[in-house]
Amino acid sequence: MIPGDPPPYLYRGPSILARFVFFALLSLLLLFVDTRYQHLEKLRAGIAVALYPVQQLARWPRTAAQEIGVYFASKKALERQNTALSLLLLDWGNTAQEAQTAQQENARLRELLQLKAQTSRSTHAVEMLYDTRDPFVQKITIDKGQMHGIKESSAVLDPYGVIGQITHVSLLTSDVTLLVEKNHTTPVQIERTGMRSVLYGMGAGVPMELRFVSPAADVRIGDRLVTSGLGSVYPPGLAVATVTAIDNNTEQSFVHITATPAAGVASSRYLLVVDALTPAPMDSPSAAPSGEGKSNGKSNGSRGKNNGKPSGNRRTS
Amino acid sequence: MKPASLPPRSPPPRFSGPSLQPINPNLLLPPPKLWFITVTLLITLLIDLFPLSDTFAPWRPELVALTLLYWCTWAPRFVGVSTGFLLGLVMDVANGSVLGQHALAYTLLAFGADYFRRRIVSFPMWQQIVFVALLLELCALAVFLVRMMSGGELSSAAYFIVPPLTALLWPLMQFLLQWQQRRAALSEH
Repeated sequence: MIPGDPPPYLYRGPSILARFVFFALLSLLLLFVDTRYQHLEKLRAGIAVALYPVQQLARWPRTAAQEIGVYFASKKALERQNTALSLLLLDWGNTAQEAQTAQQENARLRELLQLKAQTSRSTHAVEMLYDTRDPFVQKITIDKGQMHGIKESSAVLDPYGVIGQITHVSLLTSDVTLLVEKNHTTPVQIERTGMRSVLYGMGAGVPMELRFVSPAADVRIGDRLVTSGLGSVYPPGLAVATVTAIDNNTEQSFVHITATPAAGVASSRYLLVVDALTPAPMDSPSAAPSGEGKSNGKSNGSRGKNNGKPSGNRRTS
Repeated sequence: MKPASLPPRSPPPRFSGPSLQPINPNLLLPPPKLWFITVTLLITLLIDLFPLSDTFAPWRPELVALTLLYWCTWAPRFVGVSTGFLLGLVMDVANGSVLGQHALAYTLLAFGADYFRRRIVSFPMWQQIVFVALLLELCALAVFLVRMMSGGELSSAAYFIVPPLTALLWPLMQFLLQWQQRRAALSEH
């Protein structure tokens, strides 16, 4: 007799096979609903809150080890780091001042041209909790959530550029889907020419693909790709990737262009979350008389296909 | 045979000869307690959530699956398909994966464990390890197929190598998870 085996004459509920079929079907249903729709966010957030203390406890040894490491760091190493950081600060302070001047100038020019003023977005500094844990998706978890004002589909940056986008927000943590996630799309433009296109993630370790570029377009190896600001998710002008290869020999109507991400995807510990603008209703042509306004309107129209709801379309497309 | 001719009752013999040896001496242990099962599942979840660097993360053994498999085999009254499903949901949220992915895997695992329960416990250790490896691999394959159908992409070949490696931890797991039962058995005498 196997331990724990009740006598066979006792009623033991539905048979094991029936229970298996029920829960397997329920899992498949969950898989289907979670891939296609957004209805399960509440369930996910609830479980995430319950899981939070366990996660914090699991992280505790590493945090403690880091703190001990900091405590025993040699004075020389700290001084060296301090000097390097001061130099960096000087460099970036200069850049920031220039940027501020440029921003003021820009605002004045916009006023002169009667363009809509660019809204500034709120940012949150966050710390990464976990790397990719699921082998099928490229994701990280950060230590701030709904309680800290993080919103879904905000952009996430590291010092070198965009690393991804918030896809799940729970009370105390959020999940970030990285740019390299397969079929994750990012609206970009080539910094040199201003030509707009869409950058596709192809999975971890595989270069990203710039799609919908005609063979006649002016693209060179080494071109920097920055966010175009279309789709209202990313602020315009953030570094995304660098073009690494151009394959003109395909028989298709588009060139095959690959690019590597600018940000150290999944390697920086501290990150910046930049809130997404809530997509405004499409402006009527009279309200947006400038070229910029029109292109924005156009993008809003195509947004539904490419990048409007990244968390929803990411897996399905 | 007359009852009078039976030898007086004695404690179970030390297993000296091969003919008298039970198939699995663990069968003589008292049943595990629910609190111990819960605590061990929580501890393995805790170990599983311990952050690892990118290099080692794909090689993380599937301890939660192994513990679940163990309890499905040895405590089917407490741990079964529904426990597997719930644990899978928790793992899905912890991993940030699609809801239902681990739930399906663990449901499958729990069912396999329950179905083959009587066979697993009667095997010698090396055969148990092979069996556990097969079960874990089967459930990895199921998740792989489902994810491929919904357009997922596998980033590392480690995914299919980890289950057999995890199965090698089965004897150790068995030793650790019998702690409470061994203690209960000792206090009975």
